Amino acid sequence: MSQLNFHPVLLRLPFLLGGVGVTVLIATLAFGLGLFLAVLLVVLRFENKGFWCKASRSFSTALTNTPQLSQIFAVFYCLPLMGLMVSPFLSVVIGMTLNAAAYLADILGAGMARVPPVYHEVALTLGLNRRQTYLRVILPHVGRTMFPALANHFQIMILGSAMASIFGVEDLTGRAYDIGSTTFRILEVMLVTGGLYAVLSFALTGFFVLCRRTMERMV
Amino acid sequence: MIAFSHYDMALLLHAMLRTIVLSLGGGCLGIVGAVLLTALRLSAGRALLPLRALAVAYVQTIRRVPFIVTLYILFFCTGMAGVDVSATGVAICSIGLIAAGYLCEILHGGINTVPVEQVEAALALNLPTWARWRYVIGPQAMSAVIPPAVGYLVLFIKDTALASQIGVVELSQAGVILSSRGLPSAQVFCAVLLVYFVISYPLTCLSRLLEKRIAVH
Repeated sequence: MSQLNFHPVLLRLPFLLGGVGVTVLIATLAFGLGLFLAVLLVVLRFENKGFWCKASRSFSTALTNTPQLSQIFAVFYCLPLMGLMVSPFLSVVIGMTLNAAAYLADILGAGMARVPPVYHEVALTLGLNRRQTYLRVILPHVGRTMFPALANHFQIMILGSAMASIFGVEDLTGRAYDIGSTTFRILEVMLVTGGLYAVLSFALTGFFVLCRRTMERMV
Repeated sequence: MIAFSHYDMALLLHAMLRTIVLSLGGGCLGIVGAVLLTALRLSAGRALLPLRALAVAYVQTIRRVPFIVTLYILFFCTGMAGVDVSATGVAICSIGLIAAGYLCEILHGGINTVPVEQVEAALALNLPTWARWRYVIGPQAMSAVIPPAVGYLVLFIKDTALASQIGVVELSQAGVILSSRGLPSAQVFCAVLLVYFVISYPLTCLSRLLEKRIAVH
């Protein structure tokens, strides 16, 4: 086996570390937009018993049973056909947002089902309208009870955002591939990248534990 | 107005079989790996301590590295080591490695849900080790293990899509090939997504059914 040589990789470490920022940006954007969509989807499920409830459920079923990569491919190849020229970055974010919305809607739905009915009754008694009931009472409660599952999904999305490299986005994996093809030290750069992802993920775990503690202290 | 010819359908069919082979192979490898890893993590004795630490470190790390990075590492590792493995073999191995990590965590967690009194009672009854696992720990742990394990195996089917990156012609790569041949992209990708759905949806239903039937509430 030929020798491992990390020197050329370490020289380009700042460039690689910049990729961490892009990875976090993609995951955060897709998670934020996905969460917004998921809230809409899940409110539809609980407020409407007819067509829209079924549509919302089918959306989740369809997108959780197909790979994210194929979904991004579909967005990447089909949006230009509809006359929308979007950058690779944007099509990755759109694809990941749709995928995240499906998964997050399922997570929020499980949380909503566990909200005690008395919460709705209290909100009604206080004279809150529907918007206020959801924004001030139900969703904050669901956010608290479902925080571990949501945090876990964010971690999954950080790992999933590595797919962006396939579409030419310069995230952590994309930059790693870039360095690999200029220095021919692809195995070394991938080992370093794997380490960086692990460190990032451990750091996020710590951050979420901290968030949880702060939240519990506030309540 | 479906533009697929016989050859395109044949390609899709082969790609579908490849996806199934990847999922099955990786899943089986993962189950075997997970059992071995869990056995290591549960082992007693000071001599095995370094191995035990290694198993825990492996499980904690592999779940924090993206699948595609694991795939690249294994792909270039076998290349540099001069081992002649097909791309499909590399993909199956890396799915197995990842699956072993995730399934080990589920298995270990499931075994830990068995109350310690049950194990102590089995010991007090002087049951041999195999009977303790077969009749006491096994059945109780299974209810906490099987439903999430099936759920994760469904996730790995979707992970196989990434094997296209090291040159395995599976479903998502077939989609790209057909689209490059000039077939209408919308139809091609709808077909690919539909095939994935057909493979994955029954298993999702199975996982949900198992959850209702045997999961502890």
